[in-house]
Amino acid sequence: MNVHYLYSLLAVIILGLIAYAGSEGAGLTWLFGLVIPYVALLIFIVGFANRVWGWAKSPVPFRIPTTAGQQKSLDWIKSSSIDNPSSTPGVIMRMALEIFLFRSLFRNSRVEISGDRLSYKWVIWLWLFAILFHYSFLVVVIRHMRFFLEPIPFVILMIDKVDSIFQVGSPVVYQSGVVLFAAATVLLLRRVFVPKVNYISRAADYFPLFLIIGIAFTGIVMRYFAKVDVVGAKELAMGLVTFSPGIPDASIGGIFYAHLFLVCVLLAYIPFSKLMHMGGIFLSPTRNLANNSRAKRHVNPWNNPVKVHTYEEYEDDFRDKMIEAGLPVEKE
Amino acid sequence: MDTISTEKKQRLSQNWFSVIINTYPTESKAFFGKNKDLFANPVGNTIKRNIERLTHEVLLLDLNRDHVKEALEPIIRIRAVQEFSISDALAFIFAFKTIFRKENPSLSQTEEGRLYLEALDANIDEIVLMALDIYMSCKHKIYTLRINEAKKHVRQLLIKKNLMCEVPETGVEIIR
Amino acid sequence: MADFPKPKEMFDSIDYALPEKQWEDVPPDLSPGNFCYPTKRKNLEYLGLPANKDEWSPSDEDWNLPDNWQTIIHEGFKDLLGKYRSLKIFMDTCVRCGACADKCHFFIGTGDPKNMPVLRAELLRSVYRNDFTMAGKILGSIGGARKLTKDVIKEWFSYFYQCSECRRCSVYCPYGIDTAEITMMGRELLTLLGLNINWILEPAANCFRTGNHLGIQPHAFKEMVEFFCDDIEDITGVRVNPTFNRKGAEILFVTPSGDVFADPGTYTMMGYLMLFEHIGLDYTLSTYASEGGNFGLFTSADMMKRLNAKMYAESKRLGVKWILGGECGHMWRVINQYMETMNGPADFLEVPVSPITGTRFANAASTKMVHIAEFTADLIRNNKLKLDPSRNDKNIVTFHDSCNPARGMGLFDEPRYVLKNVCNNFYDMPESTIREQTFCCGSGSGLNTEEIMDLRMRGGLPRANAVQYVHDKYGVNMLACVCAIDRAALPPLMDYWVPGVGVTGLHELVGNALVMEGETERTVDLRQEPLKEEEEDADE
Repeated sequence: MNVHYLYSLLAVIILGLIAYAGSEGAGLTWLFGLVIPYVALLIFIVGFANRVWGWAKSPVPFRIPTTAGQQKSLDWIKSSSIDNPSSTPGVIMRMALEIFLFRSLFRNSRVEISGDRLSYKWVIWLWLFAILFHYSFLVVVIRHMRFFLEPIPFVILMIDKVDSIFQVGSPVVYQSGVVLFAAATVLLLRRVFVPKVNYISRAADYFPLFLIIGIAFTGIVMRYFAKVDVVGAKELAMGLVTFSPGIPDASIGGIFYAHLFLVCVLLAYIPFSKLMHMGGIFLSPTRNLANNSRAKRHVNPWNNPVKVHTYEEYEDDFRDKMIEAGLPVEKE
Repeated sequence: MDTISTEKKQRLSQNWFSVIINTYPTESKAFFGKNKDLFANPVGNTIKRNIERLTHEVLLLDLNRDHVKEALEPIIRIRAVQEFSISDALAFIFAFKTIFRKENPSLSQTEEGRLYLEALDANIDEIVLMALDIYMSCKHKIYTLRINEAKKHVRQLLIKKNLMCEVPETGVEIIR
Repeated sequence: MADFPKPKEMFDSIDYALPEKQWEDVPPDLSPGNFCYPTKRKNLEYLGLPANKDEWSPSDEDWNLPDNWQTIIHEGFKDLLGKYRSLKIFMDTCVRCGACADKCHFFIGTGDPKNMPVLRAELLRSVYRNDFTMAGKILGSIGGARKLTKDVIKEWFSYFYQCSECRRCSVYCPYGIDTAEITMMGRELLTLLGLNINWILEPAANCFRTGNHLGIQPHAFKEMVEFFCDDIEDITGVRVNPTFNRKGAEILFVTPSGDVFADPGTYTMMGYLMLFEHIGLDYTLSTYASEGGNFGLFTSADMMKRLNAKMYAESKRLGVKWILGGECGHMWRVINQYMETMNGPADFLEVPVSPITGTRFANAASTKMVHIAEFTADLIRNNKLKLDPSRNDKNIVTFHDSCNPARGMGLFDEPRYVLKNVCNNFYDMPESTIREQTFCCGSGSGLNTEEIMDLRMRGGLPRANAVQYVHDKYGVNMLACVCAIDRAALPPLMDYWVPGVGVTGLHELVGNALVMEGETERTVDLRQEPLKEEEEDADE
């Protein structure tokens, strides 16, 4: 047991309860339904932009891509244009593979020797659950757009349809929600039970996972068990995006406000946490630069002037010995 | 006692392996113990492979010193550079006495069994002595490498500048 | 596993399992043998670097830090964050997924959790959060922040000098976080307090003054090279005639000074000289720019720039057209990723064109510096060399991709192409241990010093283990590489783990195989050992 995940778990439970009690008991629906979402969104946008601006302010003095393949040198040697890009299209491909397929994480493969034979086994669990987690999250977010748009665009309807393709349960089950919940849980269990990952994990690692699990959990409960008033939820959401906020007359239910509040906490938390990796990955200098600094000049804006030891100083130091050894000198 | 089942042997060697792995920090235990990739985890795999051989050898009452050395050496070679004191590095060998007794609790009740245990203990003691030799030779090697390295730059210069010369290597072929 | 016996006496003596202590609370082991010797004051002073109050040793309780050490680190950190986007991104984006954890050769060899790249970076990150982020300031230790204390400085010193900046972890990181970058910043901060190691700063100081790491004066440098010419004449009957500091030569050749002063690099040097003579290259060596290596890379960006400046300065003074670089690891990281940015533009040079084949090296169009492996591969491809690979038959060769040319450049197929043409027996090591996944020699980034031999052996174990595999399987007895630190560090590593495997530079093998014009029949190789002897042994 360690305090890092206990604190995080407690924090998420308390946050959920506050919203539930506050909206259901204290009748603070305007606070949890209107004020906090706007504040959270504001914090998110300003915080995120501020963070990215902070990164962008610092220059990239050197070209330091991690080269993970053959360089482009002689014409007849096949270069690895994606893993060691020498031009912008290659960099774009490399970044696309990183962002959409988590390519580097996928490299986590290993070779196993059984007897005399080499057999290849990929330890793909981390990669697999990371992919499932991120993509199901994406689908969930896109799917939720139907609450914020009227009429609902065709694309979102399609995604909605595909996401519930198995047509089980009533209301029909979205796979994305279930997968998100499951994948986040696996990633959490990994942190708790794999010793070396446990050793490096801190509250900042557990809290977002618990938060997302909490969001998925409240979402699932609300849709399949508590069956909150969807029409009311949409009314509230539309009010928010059209800047004519209002709380619908019919009660939507405390669980809805708990869900919404956790989402708001997540939004506001992103700029101050490791979740900024969603922005950082685009700016990582070992990935987003071409390995072409021998072919094209890269400029360092702060290129410090430094004291060097000039040839003249060198010759002054050793002139006699150089002459004696028959080495040419500038000044006899 | 000449029939120790393969299964039991495996259990013995697994337990012995665990004792060694438990001497590492908690966070790396799982890595050393479980990662079966020969190249990603040389420490764990080398120890595992050789502890199996060693288990096999120690149970043969007639100890084959050459075989024991072959199995023992790679393990000690690793432990000798891993910040262990000599006692810490070698303590795992004694543990086999306990491991074996735990696995065969009834053995000490018969005369034959007691004799076997006595012989086994003698084997273990002998293996510890061999391990001491190996450990020392590894450390000696390290010191030699250090000294060589310290001498190297200067020595090459002295030789090449003709300030120093070495006895020519005559007769090397004859000795070989 | 659960039911193994745990008699008390055994456990008391050998159970090293850490108690449930957080990594923040575990002090580093700074007992003798676990740290590199600190630098002598004279080196700091010669280079104009800050020195701390008095002589100190890492095993001392008090390190004699300057009084305002906290301010120095805070301001230094702030300065680095303003200068490097990489540092900011690497401080902020790590999610501690653990993908890097078991990729570090020092972790694999030691099992010390702080050798997991993620924790090495957390050493710095925890202080970053405390000093520079709002979340860290508000949440404190819950937010993963911690105050900068003298113990943190000791921890930095211990672990930033247990990283060889090999970048293997950065290959696997989903955000490309590069621990080499973290370590470089950490070392730069430590240097602000006068904390650096002698094995790095002495070569740096020597290099600054004399042009090379060992502090060899110009006349001695020349004599050493001429000594190789005598050896070459003994072996081949051909006299080679290198020139020094010659104005008007077409090409300046720069190689690590290890090739001139340390075996087996010296044989590689002989290989270069023979090759250049054979193709009639119009080149010169320089005693002023007599060092390709750059220990500034292991100190700070400014120090790297100061040492590197000599290459362009000398090529300008001598009026050469372009520069050819010898086999060296970190030298080539500097040339490929830093040189032109730091000391360019090199507009006084021309785009390199091989005078023998006419090949234009467009990949070096800006830096104007070509790697010898690229140059030789091009010669072989164009049939400009007559080679007799059977002269290397006693060598069963494998190739160690040196970290820097591998992950800071991508030089993989050029040396392999050369190797396959100069020797008949070549076998690669398993895939997960070569090319971009190559394992470090364990002694890179200035760690090849004798006082930490145990650590170097532990760190080099994964490399040695892969060599052992091809040694057992194919009878490999020669480990080829293109790095001077490798040539110094791999022989003891092999000696300890895989006795019977030698170490060679690529161009030593080229020199052996090269059939020179007018040469006498060769009976010995460049090491003056019989060409055939081993082969006969193997046949028996």
